[in-house]
Amino acid sequence: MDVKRMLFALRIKWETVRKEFGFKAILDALFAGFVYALLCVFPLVAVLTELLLLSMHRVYTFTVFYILAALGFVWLWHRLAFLTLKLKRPDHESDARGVLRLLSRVWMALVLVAGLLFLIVFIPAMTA
Amino acid sequence: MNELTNRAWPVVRILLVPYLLFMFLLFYPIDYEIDAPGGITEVSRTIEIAYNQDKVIEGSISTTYIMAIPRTTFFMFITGYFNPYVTISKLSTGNASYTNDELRQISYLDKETSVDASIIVAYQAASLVNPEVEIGYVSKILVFGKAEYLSHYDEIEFGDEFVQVLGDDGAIVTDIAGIAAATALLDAYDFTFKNADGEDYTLTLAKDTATGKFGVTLKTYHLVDREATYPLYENPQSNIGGPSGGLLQTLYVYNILVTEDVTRGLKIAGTGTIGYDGSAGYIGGVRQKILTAWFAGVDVFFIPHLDDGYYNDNYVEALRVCEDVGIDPEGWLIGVASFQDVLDRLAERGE
Repeated sequence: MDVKRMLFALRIKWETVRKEFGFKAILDALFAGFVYALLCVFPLVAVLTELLLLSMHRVYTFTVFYILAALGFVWLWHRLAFLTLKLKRPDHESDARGVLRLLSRVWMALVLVAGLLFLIVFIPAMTA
Repeated sequence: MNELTNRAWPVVRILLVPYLLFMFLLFYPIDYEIDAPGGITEVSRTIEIAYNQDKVIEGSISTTYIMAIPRTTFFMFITGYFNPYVTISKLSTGNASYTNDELRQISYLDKETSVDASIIVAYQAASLVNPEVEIGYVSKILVFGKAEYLSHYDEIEFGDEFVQVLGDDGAIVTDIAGIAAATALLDAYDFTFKNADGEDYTLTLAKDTATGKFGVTLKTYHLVDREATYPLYENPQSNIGGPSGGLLQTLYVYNILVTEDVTRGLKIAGTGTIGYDGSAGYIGGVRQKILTAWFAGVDVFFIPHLDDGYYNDNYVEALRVCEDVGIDPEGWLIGVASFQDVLDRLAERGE
């Protein structure tokens, strides 16, 4: 099975990354990425919220903007986490970028599902 | 974390001041209020009546809400200034002393009491054609406003019921009209109120030296007596406040109680307060409400029309808005002076 082989390859990749950086360093990198990405995206979300309050009739358009902002946040978070890992060990050999990219894709999928739920279920229910 | 901080520090140092300045623009509240278009809400979401449930209602009846932001931020002020759908005004002096939370409490009190008024008017009208319908109500005096100088400011809540004041020579006064005459000699008097839990409490309120007033605004409301009312209704919590849905709430309730479907398949929206005698009352935010209803694609929009010659009459103002934004008001915008007017206009549509 392809999926089985992919999962096995991923596990190997993860083990290699964990052995090279250590679990604590990976968590620290993810935390650093999260904090700095949040600092970057927070003003954008605040701007979107204030603009939405002035244009409630465009709630669907703004929801799409929120989803894009959330996707941007997830991308930036993992990008900065990778940058932190790279700064910790410039000579690293494991595929940390690949593991973090996959993690970010999982988060992005969750963001998309939540966004679609808002667009299709919650907002129509609230504005009916 | 330290690695990233060290790497980003030169950039962070440069951006820190602009970042904080931007945050200030985004979050510092200023004494301006903004009205922006909102949405329409079907009244069935705010008033539930378990009656006539088999009745087929082809149309819909909605109230219109706008986004009323009492204390805007610099950022909203700037963006709103360039937005043709938005109205910015200085926070009214009466409201400026209230916190945003207090303004919300007043708004919800308005909403709650407007539902009672709608129920009373609609049930009375419906009882003329449906003998099953019964309505009973009681009159209560509620706290509607508080001045900054009110003693025990934090102990008296908006919506608390005024019970009595112990006036000069031991006179017990229970009505608004009698308070001034019975509290002329001393600087402080004992007022008794009833809180939301039904508990009485007595406070000594002192007169303000500058104005000679106690600083509490009282207003008489008619509230539904649930024990003398049939059918019963529920009023689920909603985050929409204000009294401007009264007229359309009345129409919705009436439509539930009578046999005919007054909607006639139309998507009906509107605005206007409702008086206990069925009269429609003026509302604010006309421009935003017209735009909201237009964006929502309603078939007919009812708005208070009490005086043709009055520049700020809601209907007259609405006509100006329609002209301004290019909406054809013919057959869409309907001025009404009372709940009966709404029924008459809808009946004309059905002919």
